[in-house]
Amino acid sequence: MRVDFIVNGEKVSWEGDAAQRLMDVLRDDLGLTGVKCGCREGECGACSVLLDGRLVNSCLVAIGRVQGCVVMTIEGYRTSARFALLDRCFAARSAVQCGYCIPGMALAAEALLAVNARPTEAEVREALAGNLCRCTGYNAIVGAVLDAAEAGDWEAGDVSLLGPGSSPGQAHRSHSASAGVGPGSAPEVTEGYTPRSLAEALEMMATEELTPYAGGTDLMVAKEQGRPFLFLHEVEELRHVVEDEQYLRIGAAVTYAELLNDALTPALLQEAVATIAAPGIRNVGTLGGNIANASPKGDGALVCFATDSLLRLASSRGERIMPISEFYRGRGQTALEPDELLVEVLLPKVWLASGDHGFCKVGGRKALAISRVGFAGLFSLEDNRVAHLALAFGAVEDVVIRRPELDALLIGKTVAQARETVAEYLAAWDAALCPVQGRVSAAYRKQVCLNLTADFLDRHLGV
Amino acid sequence: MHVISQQVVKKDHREKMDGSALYVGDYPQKDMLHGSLIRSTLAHALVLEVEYPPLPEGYFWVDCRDIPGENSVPVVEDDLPVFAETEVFYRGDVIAMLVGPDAREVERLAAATIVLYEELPAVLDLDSADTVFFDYAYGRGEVDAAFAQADRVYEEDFSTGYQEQGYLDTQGMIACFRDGTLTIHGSLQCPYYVHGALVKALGLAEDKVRVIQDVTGGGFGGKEAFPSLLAAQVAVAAYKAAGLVGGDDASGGAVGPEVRVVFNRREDMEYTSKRHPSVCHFKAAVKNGRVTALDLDVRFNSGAYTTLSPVVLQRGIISAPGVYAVPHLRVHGRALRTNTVPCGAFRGFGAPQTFFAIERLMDHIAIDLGIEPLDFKLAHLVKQGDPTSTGGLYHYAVPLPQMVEAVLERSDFCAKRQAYAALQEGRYRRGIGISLWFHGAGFTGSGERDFIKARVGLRKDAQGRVEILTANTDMGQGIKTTFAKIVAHELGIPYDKIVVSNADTSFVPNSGPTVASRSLMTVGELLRRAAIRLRDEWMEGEEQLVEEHFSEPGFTVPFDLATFSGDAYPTYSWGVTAVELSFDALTGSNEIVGSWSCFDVGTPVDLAVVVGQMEGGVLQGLGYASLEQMAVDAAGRIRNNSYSDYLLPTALDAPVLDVQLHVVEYPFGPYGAKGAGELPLVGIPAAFIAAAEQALGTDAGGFCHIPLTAEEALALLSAGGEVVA
Ligand SMILES: Cc1cc2nc3c(=O)[nH]c(=O)nc-3n(C[C@H](O)[C@H](O)[C@H](O)COP(=O)(O)OP(=O)(O)OC[C@H]3O[C@@H](n4cnc5c(N)ncnc54)[C@H](O)[C@@H]3O)c2cc1C
Ligand code: FES
Ligand code: FES
Repeated sequence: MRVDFIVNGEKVSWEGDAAQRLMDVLRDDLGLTGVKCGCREGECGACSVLLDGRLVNSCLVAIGRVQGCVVMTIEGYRTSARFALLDRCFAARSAVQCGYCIPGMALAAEALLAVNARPTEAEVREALAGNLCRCTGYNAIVGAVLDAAEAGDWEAGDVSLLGPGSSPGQAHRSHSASAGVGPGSAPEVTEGYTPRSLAEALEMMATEELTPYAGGTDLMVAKEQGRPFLFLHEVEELRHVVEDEQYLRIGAAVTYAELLNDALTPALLQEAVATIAAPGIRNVGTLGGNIANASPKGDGALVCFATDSLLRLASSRGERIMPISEFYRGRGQTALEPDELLVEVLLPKVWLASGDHGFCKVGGRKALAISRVGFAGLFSLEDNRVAHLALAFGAVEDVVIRRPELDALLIGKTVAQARETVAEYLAAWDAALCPVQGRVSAAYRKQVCLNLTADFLDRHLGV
Repeated sequence: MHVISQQVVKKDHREKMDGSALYVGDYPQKDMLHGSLIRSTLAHALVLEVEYPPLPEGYFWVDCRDIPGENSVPVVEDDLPVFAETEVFYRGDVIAMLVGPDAREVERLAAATIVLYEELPAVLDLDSADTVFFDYAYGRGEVDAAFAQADRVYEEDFSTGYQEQGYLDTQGMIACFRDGTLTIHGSLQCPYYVHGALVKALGLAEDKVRVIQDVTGGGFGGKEAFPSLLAAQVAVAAYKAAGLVGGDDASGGAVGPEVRVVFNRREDMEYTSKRHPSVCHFKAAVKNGRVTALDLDVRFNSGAYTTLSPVVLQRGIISAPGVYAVPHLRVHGRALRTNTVPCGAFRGFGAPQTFFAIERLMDHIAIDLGIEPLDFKLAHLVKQGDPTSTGGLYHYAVPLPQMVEAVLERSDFCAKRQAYAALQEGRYRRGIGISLWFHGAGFTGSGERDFIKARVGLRKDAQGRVEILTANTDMGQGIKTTFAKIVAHELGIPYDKIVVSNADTSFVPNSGPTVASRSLMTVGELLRRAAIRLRDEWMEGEEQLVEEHFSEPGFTVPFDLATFSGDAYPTYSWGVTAVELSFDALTGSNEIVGSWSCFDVGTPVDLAVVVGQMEGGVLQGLGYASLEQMAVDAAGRIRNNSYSDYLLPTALDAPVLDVQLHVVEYPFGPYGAKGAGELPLVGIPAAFIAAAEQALGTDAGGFCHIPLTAEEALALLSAGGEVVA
């Protein structure tokens, strides 16, 4: 695939495998080694760059995705006045130890300050949560970013750097992939396609076996799959958040960052999305990808289960709508036909609007944590009766668990009756849950599910 | 504050901040050969045969038969081979290397290489280990009599797990052999260790081996010994490459290609050295409310080779009685072989394991006696003039009481401790704990005098710029900065007139390794003296070179390793930390509410550098106690080999780390400075677990191991009765 993009104000034409990591292209082909490599799987943030002004982990971005985009690495950022200020503040606190995390930290700080010129300490920590530092303990880095916010006028953005045409010489460089051709083996170049409309996308899906690529944050970790990518980020029909009478409709390629910023996003989904990974991953990762990836640990999918969301699937042959509970065929298996795309998620508004919710994610740590147990619940009272109850559990079995027939034990009951039925309800869940053993034991998973359920009911029924 | 403590911009700040610093993985790879290691997939086996796939032109393999010198990497002993010969001793032991021009093809060929084994029984944990690599014992007084006369005897087992250094910049080396000289550069702590290893493996003269440190993205001990092994492997490959595919230069000298091995994260995490897992069986005799005797048994899991285990064990057992004065003492330590990854150096070097044990034991005794643990500990503290565990002396003031005061005040410890002692209900349960410790400054025993014999140099050019010549390496800890400050200060010239390059054995003298928190205290002092000489001999406009050599401070009681007697360290750095935790009774997860520390590392030769070291060390200690879990499975394999499976604290997990400094000057360190780098990590796990114990209400007979999991916490919370609010 030929990819034209702008790096640090300079036009670049690159030719090669569309599935290559942006990080490798930047480091190996363009010599931009200020982009550091600490893990190649999105877990350290050392490879952070700005993609169209947003922080991303360049190891998780396929090069084909940056067609027509603007990339800024530390090499570009360091020529700005904004960097100069950060530089002074980092220096004044001796915040740079081994330095390996620092270019990524600087870009994460820029990404924050560009949208929030006066962050709190907690906001700075949140913004840097995807950038591991093993040396400093973070105090000095967080302090330096706060100092920089204090000292500078970050609103008057030096954004010229982000766009094309700012580079003095308008240089144009051509590159082809250097990591290349093993002796004897023909060069394997994977193509990539960037459709502009759903019709175009479905047409492509119908003609060739393609792998839909939304944010790439699951795909690029797994990598090693030969099919060409179908990049979805420019398909307008997949990128809206709208509501109608009954549903909140979220396009499959809407990113987490967009959801967090959208006033329509319900609180339950906001809470869940806020626990996902870290800012760089939330800037590209999507709800659609989370659902289509079919992992029981998906935090977004968990919310869709608790809300009994519907999924709209489409192919050039037509479209269908199905409840999310029918979408999965086991771990990693979905109802998607090879030529089909997930287009939209339909969240029923009724119980989201009228009731209360609960969400809890148990991860190994506070950011960059894959769920070990996930809990999402909806509860509504009407006329002192339980009008609605819907619980879902993630990361417990092969598919997210939602058992309306158990919730039915309490629905319709008065608060007093419901209280008396809680023990029975908990026992039913106890019998129903068959957790898998993994990084944590099955017994632990079950215990946490039951504790969270009991606590949720307690809050709403006051047992 | 001493004027030297005033913060400056670090020497290496700019190139790291703006991304221009080149780490080993950053060098253009265009004309390099890539190496991929072929490792044992069994924990213990005989290698019967290695079947390579057909290799395209320009590709070759390297194994033990290609080693021109000795197949042995010198660490302390010499049992670690460069490439395994007939027997492999852990899953990951290196059998061979595949080398060639295309990295992906090399990987493919390495994966297609088949090794035939005869599997042998493997020992995977300490309890089944029966090969004792090192066995030390020392003591004093009448231990058995004290136990016989005791009112109460306490006996507990304490255990600690692996800890992975987790530096962001993975291990890597690039070597080439040209004109009879082997040049290598990479991510490393100790250039002369690597140098010695290459001289031995290649059988070359010392001046035919050149080792250059690249900008090194963190070490924490992990790049002390391990780089010698990787360097030897890569150097042997470069040596072979020069003969096979090298060319000649204009004058007919051989020109070999560069050979590069840079680990990916998984390889680095799975196969490089880590902190020794430990089991401590500690016994205390208590009479009239005082500990009269300690009988301490320490076992460290060495892994498959001896590497640094003897010295790690020495520091571990010397530290075993903690900061307490106990008349009767028996200490026994063993490092045992298992068929697992060889362990090695990690910040603290054996002391975190034993300090965890002694601090927890003291806590448990106090709780059982109905005394507040901190009071009990304060009543047993060593003080200036007391004998050390090995019969040396605490020559200088022991500032722990003042430091404890400082921490109590900042953390509001006493009020919290009391409040959290009441029965807690509701979803979140709090606890606070405190621990006290030291870290012996510099090498253990007489290593400086007998082995290292450090030399440093200062070279002045005609323009009056002064270059610092030492083999000490900056991995982020700031030694370039502090060295430059010392020299500038003594010469009375601006800091930016001082040049400090990365170490290069072709022009720096051997000032010893960058380990044991020795660099600033020992080498910094030599530089200070050298600077004074240069100042006295200063000739404007002339080039000048001055050198300085180590000399033992005269005041110590010489240490004898055979009997473990004398001053193991000339002086000590001190630490006190309180940690506060909050546990979620529904899930068992915890949040670190705060940590408050006071450290004495003598005069800080740069306040910000020292505080940065303290903060970073504290967070590593907090991780060690909780998030950082790594285990060997039944096949001897480490599965927690990525950042997603071995969790380091993020900015959200870290609390604001409160750090204060207390200064007891050490007259033989520059301006009164002592060792700093390792200290802050050492005692953190004990404070963390003390807090957990209080929060979880398991004070009596509580936690004796790290890391603590949410699962265990939840089990205790559930067992403790009413959980749900
Ligand atoms: C470091 C790290 C941390 C993470 N933390 C979390 C976390 O805390 N919680 C969590 O839930 N997840 C987490 N993830 C996983 C991942 O980020 C999410 O699952 C994310 O939502 C995936 O979305 P994406 O757009 O990046 O998916 P992609 O990688 O683009 O796609 C995922 C899968 O869905 C398919 N797909 C995507 N869009 C469509 C479509 N419209 N139609 C049909 N198929 C489609 C793709 O072909 C692929 O198989 C983490 C990942 C990383 C690397
Ligand atoms: S290299 Fe670690 S996140 Fe990309
Ligand atoms: S400074 Fe070393 S990882 Fe951050």
